[in-house]
Amino acid sequence: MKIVNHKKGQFIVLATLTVAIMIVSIGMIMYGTITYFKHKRWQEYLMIIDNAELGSQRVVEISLANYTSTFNDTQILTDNLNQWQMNLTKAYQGFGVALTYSDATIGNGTKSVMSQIDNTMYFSGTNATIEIDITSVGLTGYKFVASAFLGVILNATYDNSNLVISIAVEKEDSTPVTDLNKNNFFINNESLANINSTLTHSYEMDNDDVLRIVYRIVILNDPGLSNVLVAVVDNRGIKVIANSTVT
Amino acid sequence: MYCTNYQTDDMEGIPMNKTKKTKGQMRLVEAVLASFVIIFAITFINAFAVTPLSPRYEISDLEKIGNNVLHDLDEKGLLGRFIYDENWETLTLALMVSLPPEIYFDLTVYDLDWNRVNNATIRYGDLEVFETSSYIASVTYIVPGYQADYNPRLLILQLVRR
Repeated sequence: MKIVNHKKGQFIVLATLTVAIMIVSIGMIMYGTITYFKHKRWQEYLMIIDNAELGSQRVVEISLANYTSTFNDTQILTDNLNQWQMNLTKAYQGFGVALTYSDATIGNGTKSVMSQIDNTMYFSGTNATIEIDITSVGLTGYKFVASAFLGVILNATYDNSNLVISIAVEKEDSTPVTDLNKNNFFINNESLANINSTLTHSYEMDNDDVLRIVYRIVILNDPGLSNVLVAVVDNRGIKVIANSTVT
Repeated sequence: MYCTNYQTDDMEGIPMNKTKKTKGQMRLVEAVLASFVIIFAITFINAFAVTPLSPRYEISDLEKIGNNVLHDLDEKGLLGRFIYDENWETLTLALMVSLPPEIYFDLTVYDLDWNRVNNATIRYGDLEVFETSSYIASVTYIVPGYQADYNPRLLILQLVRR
């Protein structure tokens, strides 16, 4: 066979080789990018953050429910958050989940509101600023506020021999609490379920432009007390106590 | 320019022309090489791509579904109630309703010392499926407590697509 010594066409060979080198180089860069994201389990980290955020919310609710059972233990919030810090790290071992908190407050009291029912709101509330770091992925400073709140505005009047109690109930962000029944109300330390009464509710746009659900309790043939003490325990176990002079 | 040889085919007795080309072979080699490079590059990238058909996507997808279901139940306040009331049957039903019917699940509830809390099985699907399946997704979820009691529970949810 005769071997022909071509003196032309070398450029095409060089160009092909250059293109080949470029493709392989791009492939290597892409490999680096793909494996970087592969090793970072983003989906899993998002799940952890979701779980930590909702869990922290639950911890402050549990703490407030515990505090309002006696209204004595103001340390319960910090105790539970300290435990939560350790338990969360233990639950997600190997991820380097670190939770810190600040501005943790818990308490109960009254505040002024613009309402058709009454101008005083009785409340139980707590909040804490939570910060989550996931050191294994370099995520730091994911911050949010976890809060729990239960507030009531109370008014009591007599209608003939019946005691009529109007009570507006709201939780965080002025959200109406809609899922209450007779078992959630206590009148002068006695469950409403054990009292001869009726319970109805209605929605009202109040003077401060907040939509409130107003529960109307009618206690039939009431003995005629001058003062009424109403406790409301929501389905999270958070209690708020309000009192009012019967007019 | 082509060199042409004329030969005679003895079997058929018919003369046949065979053309011997001495130029242009390099182009063919270049094209073949280029094809190989392109095929290699595509194969190389495809090996690491997470497409909807790849097993890695399947596990990631199941994990996402499992976590979303647990998160939704927790957000509605149902997860804590079922766990702390030890209402395992209702929890199984809630998971069956929330998950797509083609997904089998097996949930185990532990305390912080990794002691199993659920005395009844919280499962949909045969145990054999979980033992034999090559793609099992696992989701870890922590529930801090219920009502006024701080008493965390760790949930391990395993998922398999039928």
